[in-house]
Amino acid sequence: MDETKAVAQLKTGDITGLRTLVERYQVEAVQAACLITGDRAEAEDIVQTAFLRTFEKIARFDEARPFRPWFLRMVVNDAIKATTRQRRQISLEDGEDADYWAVLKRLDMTTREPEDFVQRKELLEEMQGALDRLSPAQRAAVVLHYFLDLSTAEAANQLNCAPGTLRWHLSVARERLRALLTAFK
Amino acid sequence: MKSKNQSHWILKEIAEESAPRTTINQWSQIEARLVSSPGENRLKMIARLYTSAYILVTAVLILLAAIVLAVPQARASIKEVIQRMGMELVQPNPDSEGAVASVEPIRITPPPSMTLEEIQKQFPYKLLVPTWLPGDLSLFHADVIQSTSDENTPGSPCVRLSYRPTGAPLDDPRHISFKVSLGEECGGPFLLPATKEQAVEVNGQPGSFVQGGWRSDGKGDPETTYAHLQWDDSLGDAYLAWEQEGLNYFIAAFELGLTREEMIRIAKSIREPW
Repeated sequence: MDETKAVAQLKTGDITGLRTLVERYQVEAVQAACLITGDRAEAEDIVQTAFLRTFEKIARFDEARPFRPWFLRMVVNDAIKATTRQRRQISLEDGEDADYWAVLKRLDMTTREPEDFVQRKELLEEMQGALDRLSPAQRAAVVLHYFLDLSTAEAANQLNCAPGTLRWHLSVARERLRALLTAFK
Repeated sequence: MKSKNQSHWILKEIAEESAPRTTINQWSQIEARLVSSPGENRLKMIARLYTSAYILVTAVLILLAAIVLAVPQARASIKEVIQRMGMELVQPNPDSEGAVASVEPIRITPPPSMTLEEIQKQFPYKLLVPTWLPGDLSLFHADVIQSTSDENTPGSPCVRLSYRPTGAPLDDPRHISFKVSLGEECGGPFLLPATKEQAVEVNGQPGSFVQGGWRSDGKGDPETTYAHLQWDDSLGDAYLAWEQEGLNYFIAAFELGLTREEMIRIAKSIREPW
């Protein structure tokens, strides 16, 4: 079913619209939340809650805009909140900026998968460790741009960081990620 | 840099390892939470779920009954079976011979709309709306939402009006979206390329105009279609934004092929509706 029709159905209270949206976005939403929280069960719970809130808030959703960024914004924000709460509980400090820039540099430099299995495994482990050291906001910024593949402009839109009339969001990725990070903090 | 329009392979691998896509099935859990949750909205949702199912089943049964009764051979077979059971069907009203039960089609209804008077009551500023529109467009939907970037802080009211071709079906993409708000845009800004912005003057104020729209290149994974949009000047969408008397105005016209002059003419026509 077409996404626009699914949203229209949901606006009339028809639950099949919600099911369509769940089937379309559940994988990337759960995986994105999991990357931010590092906890599969928590990620599942966040995404389920976001879908339930989608139904409750769908009347406020402007169908002229795409659903995906609107929905993923809820998921990412909830994942940040959940992770921040969790981190406070175990008294860990936020990641240092140096770690953040190291992760960005590594992602930018390894756009191709190495053929060597060992080298590939090491890279994945190294990145997993580096991500773990980042603050929730830093991780969210990385996930928005490098995993959810939102353009820098779309990622900026996730944060509602453009007041006034139309704002034109185009800048290099790093500058935008820096801005995203500031907005998250 | 990351290659364009593609998730980074490292993050994809890590995500797939921690939450394999084949193991993600949210719907059954969401359904379970719907049933177990006592929240009012959830109850409404369940009620709607069962109401929709009930309406659908009833409609299908009525339709089947109508089809069966309308076919003479089917009617004769049913009569024979009933007679074998020791009963006889009688026709209390001969005039209704051959009448077929009417079946109400299930229609998608638009969300509830407000009148401009109701909107003005909730909007603490002078409400100005377009008094000129091209073609046969007419007001289709109107409401006020609280625009906020944070759920925990009160937002400012945002008026949304939608104009569609008179009598056009709901899935007709041609429409104009007119928004007025203080501060933030209603629900965030539209994403438009800076290079396409044209500076214009609207009612003596500086404004921004963009013509064209996003088109999918058709190469992406259907689940990430929005990551594969290309700007196309030839698409019939147009956008105009400006500030006036401290309020932000925004007009988006979709698939109507409106020119810059027509968009500005709409903007210039805003007046109090009474």
